[in-house]
This record gives sequence, C-alpha cells and structure tokens, in this order.
Amino acid sequence: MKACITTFRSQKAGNSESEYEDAAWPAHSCEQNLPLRIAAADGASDAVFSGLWAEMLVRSWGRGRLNAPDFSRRVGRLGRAWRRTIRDRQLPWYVEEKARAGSYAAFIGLALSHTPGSSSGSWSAVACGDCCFFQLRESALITAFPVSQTSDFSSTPPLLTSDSARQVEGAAVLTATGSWEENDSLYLMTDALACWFLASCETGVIPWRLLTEVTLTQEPPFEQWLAKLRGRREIRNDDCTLLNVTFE
Amino acid sequence: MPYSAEISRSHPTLFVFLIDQSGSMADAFPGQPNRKKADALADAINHLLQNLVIRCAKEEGVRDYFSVCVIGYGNRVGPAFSGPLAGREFVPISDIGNTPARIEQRVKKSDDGAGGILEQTIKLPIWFDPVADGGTPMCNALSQAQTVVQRWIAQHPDCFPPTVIHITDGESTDGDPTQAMQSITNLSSSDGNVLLFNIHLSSDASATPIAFPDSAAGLPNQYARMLFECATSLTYTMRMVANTQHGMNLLDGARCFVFNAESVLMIQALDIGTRPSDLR
Repeated sequence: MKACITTFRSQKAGNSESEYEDAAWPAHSCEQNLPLRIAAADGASDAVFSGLWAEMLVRSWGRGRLNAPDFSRRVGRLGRAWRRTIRDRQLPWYVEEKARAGSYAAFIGLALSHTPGSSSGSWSAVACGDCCFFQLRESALITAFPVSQTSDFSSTPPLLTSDSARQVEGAAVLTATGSWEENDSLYLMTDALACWFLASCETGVIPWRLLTEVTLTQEPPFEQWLAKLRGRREIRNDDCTLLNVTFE
Repeated sequence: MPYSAEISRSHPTLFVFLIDQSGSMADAFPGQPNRKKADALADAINHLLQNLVIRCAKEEGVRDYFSVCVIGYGNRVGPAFSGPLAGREFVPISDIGNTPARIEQRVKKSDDGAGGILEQTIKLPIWFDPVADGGTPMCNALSQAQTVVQRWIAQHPDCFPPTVIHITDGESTDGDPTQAMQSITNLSSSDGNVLLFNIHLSSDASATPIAFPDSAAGLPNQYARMLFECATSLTYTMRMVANTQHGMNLLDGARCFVFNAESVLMIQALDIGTRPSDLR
C-alpha cells in the first residue's frame, strides 16, 4: 500500500527563504510505500543554527535513527554531531557565544505501518513541544497530539536541545499510538499553523475542506492561502510547515 | 493596544542609555569598598550590550532589531561609546556587534554535564569605558536624549516606542529635570509613548533599595518622588521578565523606577528595561 505525502513550507513573511528554520521529512512531496516515517521540526528563532538542528532531527527520524525507547539518549548523540558540524567554522564572537548554549527545536515524528491484507494500519508518534499531529476521518478530528487546545500553546514550549547538559527531562517527550484507515487524512503542522487549525476547530468549524483544497488540489496555492491568513491576522507570522498524508 | 508593535528588522526599536558620569560615580557602591560605581556601571553596560548583540545574533550575522544610543553626562555631555563608535549617536546593533572598542578574554568555569568543571576562555567585548568627572548636567543630557528620540521616531513612526534608561547617583546640577523628562515621555510612535526608566544608584549603605513601586507612598524624599512621577509604567513583558526571571512580584502600574539600587538591582533593572517585548 502506498502513501501520498505532500509537503509545504513557507518562511515567515519578511524573511528570506534561506532564513526558514523549520524542517520537514520528507522535504518534498512524494509517494512512498509503507511503512514510512515523517517528521516536522521548528527551530527556535532565538538560537543559532536552529534550522540545521531542526533539519538534523527530522532527517534522523526519517532514517530511523531516532526511536521512541531511548529517544532522549539518541537526541543527545545527535546534539554532539550538531556541535561537531559547527565546531570548525570561523565564527564571529557573538555566534560563538550563542552557539555555546546549543540550539533548540520543537519536534514531532510520526511512524506509519500497514496491516498486511487490509487497508488500514497503525501509527506511533513522538513529540516534544508544540509541533502537532492531527488525524481527520470523515471530516471529524479524531486525534490531536500533543496539543489539543489553543490555550495550551505558550511562548516557552519544551524543546529538544543540542546541548546534552541542558536536555529536557524525559517527561517533556511525549508518545502516542493509534490506528489509521484508508480514507483518513493525516497532518503534521508546526506551531503557528497548528494553533490556527485548533482555533478554527474551537469555533466549531473543522477546516477540513480548506485543508483538502490546499493540500490536494493546491487551489489556492499554499503560499497564497498563508498570505491571506497572515494578512487577516488569523495566523501568527512565523515559519510554517505542513505535511499531509493520504493513502491509496 | 499600545506596546504591541512588532520588533523586527523592518520595524526596529531604539534603546537610549543616559549615563551619569559625574565625579561622584568614582565613589564605591555601599558595601563594596573596592568597586567604583562607574566601573560597575561600565561592566553592566558592556555586559548588556553583549547580551543585546547575542539576542539578535543568527549564524549569518546580527539582525538589526534594535539601535542603541549611549549618552554620558558629567564634565561633558554627548555620545559615550569608546573605540570606532565614538561620537556616533544611534548605532544599529549589528554595528555594535561588529565594532567593539576591544575584546578582552576571561576564563569561565561551567558544568561539563558529566560531573566535572569545564574551563572555557570567553571573549568579552568592550564598547564603553568608565568615566567619573565633573558635575551632573542632567537637564542637558535629557535634552540631547529627547532630540535623538525625536529624530528616531520621525524615521520610524510606527516602531515599538523607544526606551530611555537613565542611570544616576545624584541630583541634577543644571536645574530641575522634571520638564526635560516629561518632554521625552510625551514623545510617541503610533504604538505608544516613549518609555523612561529612572535608575538611581545608592550612595548610602543604610538606605533601603526600592524596586519598581506602583505608588509614591513610602518614597523617602521629594527627589525620589520626582524620579518616580517622571518614570513611565513597565510594559507587560517587562513585568513578566521581572516576575518570572528576577523573582519579583510586580503588579500592573509598576513604574520604571528603582531608588538606592546596589549593583545587583542595577543589573536587574537594566535587564528588565531592555526586554520591552518578545522579538518576532
């Protein structure tokens, strides 16, 4: 059985494309056979090399090197790799000083497997911070993880750090499992989009049709749609990343 | 809602430090006989500038979320940067990051995460040197600050309002500064009035420090009441920083005012004063 993965990304309005500090795995839309692993991460804007850190997290998840049982230990090892990556660069004093504190990112990883002989399967997710997984079935929201209401978003979410001495306690890394069916639509969103999505749900309107239009028909195109939301101040001006999975 | 404008590269804000460099700043802080107020203040300003640069730093360089103006007053009144920035009025934070007067090195000890102590040599940039000489021409200095702020607002009419942080240990020797302070706080961008901090440094070991009061009741004298009345209220974010990061318990209406500050309270006040809002 195949999954169709659509990936969208947009840097904060006013920033250049190279300043995008979210990351998605896969980075580009594609079709993949199950089992598969997808992820989204949101590099902290007040750290340096946080786009690199977010990218390293999603890539490691996607390649199966970050796993739930000893997730935090593996993040620690990845943090040491992050430091090695920047160690030999000639950096001005302020970047050197800021890099000393490590980098930070919110993260969500989703692993999907298929039950042989059926058109369904199971999912497992690992999250730290406010990147979210949403599962829609027949236009109803049946899973929101790890954040399920807008009041739970804060300006200081727990984050995965590249500095093992500052690594979050295991309690901040949350896991969840469930099952999916053929006609489900699965989404990973970084925080600004996730907050907009939950805010819409809280008004009683699940924006499933809008999401379907944006992700499947791409009419309106993602950038244009986002620009309108930003213009109407319905969404915080931030990097935005959206992954959508459908099955065929 | 005032004080909600985005602080970004396209909408930077301004910090003005107005620094007393009069002869009395050569006196020691009470309880710290080997520490001149001027030296402690220069260390605090350099550390603060370093933190501001680091807050705005990204791997590709320093983002200009802020510009900074440092005006000293004592024997002379005017821009007080040392080194290549000497004489410049307001300086983008990227220029500050890239143009320190010099970089000193210190050894810093920290936890290595494995039960040991890690010794690291850290770089300590210096932009501002201690000066303690002459009288206290506060009115002249405030008037210069007003001109700088006015010019900034004309160029950035929709900016997050500039913050003026005035640090002094004495009383004005060139007149009553009330009107000059009011002229500053009457200035506004479309996002609200200019913020004014009055940070008064202690000269007396028996004096009780007062931090960010919300009323003039209990202030020891007319001078303290004047500094209190002229200071603006803290923004929401400043109060949150004070309460969550400095263990204070400030309510709505707390003023940007400290009286008889010793060196720790001075550093806390400078930190709170330069955290007007979250960076976007």
